[in-house]
Amino acid sequence: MDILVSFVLPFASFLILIVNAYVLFPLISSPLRRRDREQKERKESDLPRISILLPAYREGKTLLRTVNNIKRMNYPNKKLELIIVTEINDPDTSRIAKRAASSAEQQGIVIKHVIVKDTPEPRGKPRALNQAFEHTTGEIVGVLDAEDAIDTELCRKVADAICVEGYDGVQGILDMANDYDGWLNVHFRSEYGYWYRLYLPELNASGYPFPFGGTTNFFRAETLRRIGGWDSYNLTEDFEIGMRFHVSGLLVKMLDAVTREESPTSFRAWLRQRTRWQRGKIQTMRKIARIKGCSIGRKTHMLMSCLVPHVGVINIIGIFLSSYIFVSRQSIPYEYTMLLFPNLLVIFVLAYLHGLGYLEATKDE
Amino acid sequence: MQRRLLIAFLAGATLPAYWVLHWIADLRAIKQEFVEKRIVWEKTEHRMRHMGVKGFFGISNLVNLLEKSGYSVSAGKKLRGTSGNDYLFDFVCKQAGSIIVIKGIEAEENVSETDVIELVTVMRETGVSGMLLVASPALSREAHDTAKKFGLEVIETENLNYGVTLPVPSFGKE
Repeated sequence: MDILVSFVLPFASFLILIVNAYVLFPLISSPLRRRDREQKERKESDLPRISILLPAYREGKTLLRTVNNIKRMNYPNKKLELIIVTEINDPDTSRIAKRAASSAEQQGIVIKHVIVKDTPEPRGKPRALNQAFEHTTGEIVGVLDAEDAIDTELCRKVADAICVEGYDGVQGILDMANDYDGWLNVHFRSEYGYWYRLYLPELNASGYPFPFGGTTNFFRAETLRRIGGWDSYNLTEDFEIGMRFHVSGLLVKMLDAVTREESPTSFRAWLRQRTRWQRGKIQTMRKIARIKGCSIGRKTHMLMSCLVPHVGVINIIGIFLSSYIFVSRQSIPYEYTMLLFPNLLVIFVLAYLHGLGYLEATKDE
Repeated sequence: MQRRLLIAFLAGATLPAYWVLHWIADLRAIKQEFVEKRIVWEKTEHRMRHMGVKGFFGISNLVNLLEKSGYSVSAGKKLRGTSGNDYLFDFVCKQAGSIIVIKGIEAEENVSETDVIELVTVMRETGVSGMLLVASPALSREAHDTAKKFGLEVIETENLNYGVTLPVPSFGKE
């Protein structure tokens, strides 16, 4: 009891308050800072060549659909290069990728098929992306997933942001569209609605490290090469690359282009995916802690960013502590109760934003 | 709008429960990172459920036209068959006791006769009045004949996602 009151409660309360304040700060402060970058005129003939990396593992059926989508984008096919990356132990997807590549020439688009070589690095998306990146020739390199339903204007918006406005990377809005599949899927959609439509634009405008999403992100190829591509040892290579963007002072833009995805349709699948994501943040945290030659302020900023996706977990601790204090408040010092009270307020605010995220994501329906 | 508001409210109200699930994921992640120390990429399987509503017919005129014709249209809905199995359709359209379902199907080459026979079985088991099959890229000749024989309306399209403008099927009415 003494240990709880004298050590655990103050420490937990402090952590809860700091993380929540860090999470909410961009929403309060960024409208004051936001500004659009100056746009230059661009001629149609100046459109850059865009290389799209499409890693596909056991996704033969969905792959064809996405390839068709890419071919039908409002962007000259001759300026597109699609690189489908498959794994050596997935012959079905490889067969479809090969067929797509061989039939591409007549449609004016370049489609390459790369089979990932076995290397000491762990098997996974970042390794596939790095190997595919070696085959790119575009000025811009982007990542799409094989199951994505993409905006037909995506590449034009990407080209404008990178080549005209001068950003180093862009991120599209992701939407987990199958909320009708159940409670978990509703939450997933709300979460993405809040994250991509409400939070990330403000976070970006506030100068926070920008956590890229797993798909619909595009980079200036030269920049990507300079920072060393993706980290093959990280389970959230997208998030991690955002931290390196921050270290290098690179600029990111949120694009108004929606990519529709599917959230897992079972709890087991959700848990596996979420575990990977959470573990990736832990890996990134450990990596940041080891970085040398980076200011303490920047390092702290990035470490806090790694905690942001854990804000729910941290707030759950707060709920338990608040409940405990409420039940046995006579024996707990008053100041700790005061310290934890804002926690409940923050939970209310986050719950409101979560609901608002759902409304934002479904506003056109 | 009311439905969206209600769902949004429920999402906000049950957020702490969602966070409890995050706890489980966090504990698993900590165990994997610090105890097991093995990097395994856990693949997320996809069933293309997001294509049903947004990508599939999202910008087509079909759903709007069906609604204007008096159908109430639900996306991504399951119907229970006589066997007790649930069958998922991209759209279920109801009007005065008659139910019409829309199902999208795609194949690497052509949609086979077996696929069509399966759908006919589902159609009979669920007792729907009609089914519109949107096939990509096309049906095989045998599949065409079978679909015609069992009264399935068929639309063939190269791309199931965007830019598809579909005619309203007659469902047997001339």
